[in-house]
Amino acid sequence: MSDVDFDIAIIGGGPAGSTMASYLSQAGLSCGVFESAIFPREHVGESLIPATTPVLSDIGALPKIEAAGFPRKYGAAWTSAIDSKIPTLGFEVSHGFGTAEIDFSERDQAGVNQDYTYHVDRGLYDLILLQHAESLGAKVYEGIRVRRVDFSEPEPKLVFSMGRRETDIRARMVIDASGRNTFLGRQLKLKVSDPVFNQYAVHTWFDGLDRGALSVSKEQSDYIFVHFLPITDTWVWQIPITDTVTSIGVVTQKKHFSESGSDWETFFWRCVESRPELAEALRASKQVRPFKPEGDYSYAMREICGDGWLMIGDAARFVDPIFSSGVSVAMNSARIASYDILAAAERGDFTKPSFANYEGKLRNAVSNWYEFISIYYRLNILFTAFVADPRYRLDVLKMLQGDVYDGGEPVALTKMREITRQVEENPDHLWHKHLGTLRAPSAAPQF
Amino acid sequence: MNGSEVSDVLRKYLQERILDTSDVEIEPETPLLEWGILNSLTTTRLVGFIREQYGIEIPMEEMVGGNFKDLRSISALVVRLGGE
Repeated sequence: MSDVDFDIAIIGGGPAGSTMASYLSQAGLSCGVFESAIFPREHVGESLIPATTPVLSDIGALPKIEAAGFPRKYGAAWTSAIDSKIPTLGFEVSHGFGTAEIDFSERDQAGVNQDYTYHVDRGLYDLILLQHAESLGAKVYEGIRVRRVDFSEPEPKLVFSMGRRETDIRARMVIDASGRNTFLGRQLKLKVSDPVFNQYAVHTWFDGLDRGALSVSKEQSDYIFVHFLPITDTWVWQIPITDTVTSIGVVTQKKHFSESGSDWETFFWRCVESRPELAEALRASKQVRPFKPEGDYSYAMREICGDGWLMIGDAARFVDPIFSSGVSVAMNSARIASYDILAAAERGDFTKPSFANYEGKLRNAVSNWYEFISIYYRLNILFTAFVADPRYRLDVLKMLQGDVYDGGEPVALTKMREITRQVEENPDHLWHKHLGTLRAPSAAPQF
Repeated sequence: MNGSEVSDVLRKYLQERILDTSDVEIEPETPLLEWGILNSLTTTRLVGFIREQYGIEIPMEEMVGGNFKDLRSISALVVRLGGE
């Protein structure tokens, strides 16, 4: 094994790659991280969920994140376009169906000793994590774009350009943490576009936005807000980035944008205008970044690991931004995969069966997420009803906290699926007319 | 459980908490769904009220037009579920 340059080569230095490098370096493996950008760089996906906390704590990065002073995220709130039509009778508002909200502190979560997570400027957050991995001994190469991975010999070889020269390094195994670039998924032709979700997001930052404009109480203005628009399957995120800067993104079906025949800016404002109070608050503030579109991001892989390789985070799968699961999946998939990799290194066996535990846990988590997201779009009112229902609230909260890796299917999810089917089958059901148009087949993961 | 008592309690709830007015008289056959007094949102609130008031859980499969079209149907539903 002395002829390899690194034990583990990691493609991508985002949260998935940095976390993986941190776990493995801490345990004494040598890691090379190959990142195509020069950090810091902008990135979408700015709201975290509490399941990231135990991982940050494990790798020793939590104090650095805390010290960076990111806005604390105590909970989440969903507002709907219909709330102005229902009577606002004091307490009933919070249990009515215009708004649903949750506090993370309502449910204890293993390994989480704080009742908040963070909203982050991903430029800074990702930089802190990458530097942290470096401080633990990982070798970080920025500005290096990997061209291909050569699997023709037992030890995989990463091929990349340095200046005008093509060069390579050899490792005992390769981790794909390339995010939505899906490096290995494309090279190995394993990527499958999602048959149902074809959403697009267009987003930017605003300075000076009155975040309380659509919240029930001013205390919640540092929650993440998800504003549903009266346009089918369309919603807006509202994420605090600093004391005054707020990230705003519209998520919609690709066809809505194509049909509108307009540019991103016009489209953004047209969507936002459907909630006049939101549009008014945005117009009173200052846009500080250009609009940026994100598309074609819903996909799966037919395989997520093989002999000498494994995918984590968005490189393995991404469905939809609705529940802020991206960074959590990135960091938790790195955590779970690192256990298998350390055991594989111990045995000197990096063949596919070594990663069976990871594969199983990610499959479990991903099918829970997928189902939850599908139901959210298919029957939005059901989500709100379950959040308000004391019998299911904590179970829904468990998913919203990102606690989806262990145990079977959450009871609430089974029940939600059952009710969705009844509503679909019965036109006389009071919720039948509220069915959304995105209809996901029951979510068998591809891998 | 007495049907007319249930009906009175539900009428009071609909008038005070859903309609927020006593100007509209709700009769046993007032078409609540047709008139939009009960929409999916107010219906769900009513279901929550019934849960708290009577400890009765209305199964999701009973959430159909036939059971909620007027006060008489809703009261009958509550009495039926309460007697089971």
